[in-house]
Amino acid sequence: MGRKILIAVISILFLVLFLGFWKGYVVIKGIPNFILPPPEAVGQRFVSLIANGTFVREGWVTLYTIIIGFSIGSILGFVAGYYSAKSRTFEEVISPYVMLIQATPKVSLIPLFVIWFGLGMPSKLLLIVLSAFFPVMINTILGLRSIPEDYENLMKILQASERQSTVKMRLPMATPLIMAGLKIAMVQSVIGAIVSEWMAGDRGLGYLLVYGSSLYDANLLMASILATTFLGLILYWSIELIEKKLLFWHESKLAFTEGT
Amino acid sequence: MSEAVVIVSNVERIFSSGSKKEKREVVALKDVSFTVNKGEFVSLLGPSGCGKSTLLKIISGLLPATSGSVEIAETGERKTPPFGFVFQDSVLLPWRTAIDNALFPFEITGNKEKADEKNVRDLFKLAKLVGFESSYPRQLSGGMKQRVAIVRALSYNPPILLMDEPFGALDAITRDNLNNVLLDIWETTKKTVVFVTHSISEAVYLSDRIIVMGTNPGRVIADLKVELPRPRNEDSKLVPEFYSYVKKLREMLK
Repeated sequence: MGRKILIAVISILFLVLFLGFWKGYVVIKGIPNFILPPPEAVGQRFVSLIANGTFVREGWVTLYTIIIGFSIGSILGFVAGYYSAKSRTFEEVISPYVMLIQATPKVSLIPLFVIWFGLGMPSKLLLIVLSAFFPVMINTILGLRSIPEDYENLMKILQASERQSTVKMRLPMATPLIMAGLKIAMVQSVIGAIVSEWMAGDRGLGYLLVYGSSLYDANLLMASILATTFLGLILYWSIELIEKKLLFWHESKLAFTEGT
Repeated sequence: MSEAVVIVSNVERIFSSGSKKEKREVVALKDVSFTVNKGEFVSLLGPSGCGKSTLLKIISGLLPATSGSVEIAETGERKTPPFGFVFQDSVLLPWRTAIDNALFPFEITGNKEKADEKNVRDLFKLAKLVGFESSYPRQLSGGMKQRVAIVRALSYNPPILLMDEPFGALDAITRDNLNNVLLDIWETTKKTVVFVTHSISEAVYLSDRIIVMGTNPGRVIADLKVELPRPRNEDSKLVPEFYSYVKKLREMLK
């Protein structure tokens, strides 16, 4: 218990020091506001942008784009991964292409998408779908492939049907790795959304960033960065929450449930 | 009295690998024949590579034989699988508690009756697992997990129990304890058991009969009756007869 308090105190101290250093640097060096505003100005701007509805409005655009894109991408990734794991032939046929697309930084595709689909939703969504697809697909294959053979033997001994084996054994066994894939997919989706809004957006938090940059409004920029941080955190935590509910039995989670 | 329930006749198993041009064939089992009688505890004993686990998989139907046959005597109309199988690892489902793991087979077969639930509770007592019903596999020791696996294998009351080096991964002390638990369960349930092991003393302590197997190719080199009195306990290991069986088997396996 004493250790926990110590850690909390040091963490807060660290933040205070950081803000103090920031403020001191701005005041002593006389840094102009449009390059580096003092922390309290960023804080005020952040609060006012929430209060006047800008962050809620633009954050919502980014949020629902991520949720739709992430959902489509993960579902497709899961289905593709599931069938790849089932058939070696299918997997071997597609694996070089998967590797090729995987090695391509997804964001490099945005300019092309803009030519094909124009500015706006379709280009953004396509990028997020692609960003979420591969981590989920690859981890689904990994999860299903890494089930020890004796689990399959057990199901055969029990004369389980293919469906029973999948529902009652294979999918739960693969869940830890699928969840890990979903977490990577979520991080990638947030990056994909922000970057695509720089290029293809006329709305959203990514657009606010570019807008702030074009106005030399460092204050708006930093407040928007803070907003994207919170957005990323909320989305990541949602996935973690689902993971904790689903994987209460897993070794990586057991220490947590026993501690509470 | 001696009614054969497992009849293995001239079983051969060849594993082939490599390309079509350069086919490499390994004869894992050659001309293996023996029978197991009802209620008998039979061990398949041999060094690694003698094909004893392969043979058990062929008996259970998990692997086909290249030639020869395995016959399982009809045990009447059964809706549930004829075998219980215990693997070297416990193969428990980690998201299910001990009792839910033991009841898992009924979720597959879909016909759990009142008697089955009681059967599982009784087996928990025999396996000294009372109080751990709602523990998750992560919270159980290796020996306890293996006991849950044995209870699961017997939950649907199959006439035949197949065990593939079930205690091979455990330490010597836990292994001795589990041997005694297994004997208790066997004396109570009167199952036919086919038990694969590479431990000579384990085979002698547990078995009515030991099928001794050799390598290259995997084959039966002896069929030895163990005539130590039942029920057996730790004291059974102290009598000279026990040692003479161990010595005899050691000679054979040299």
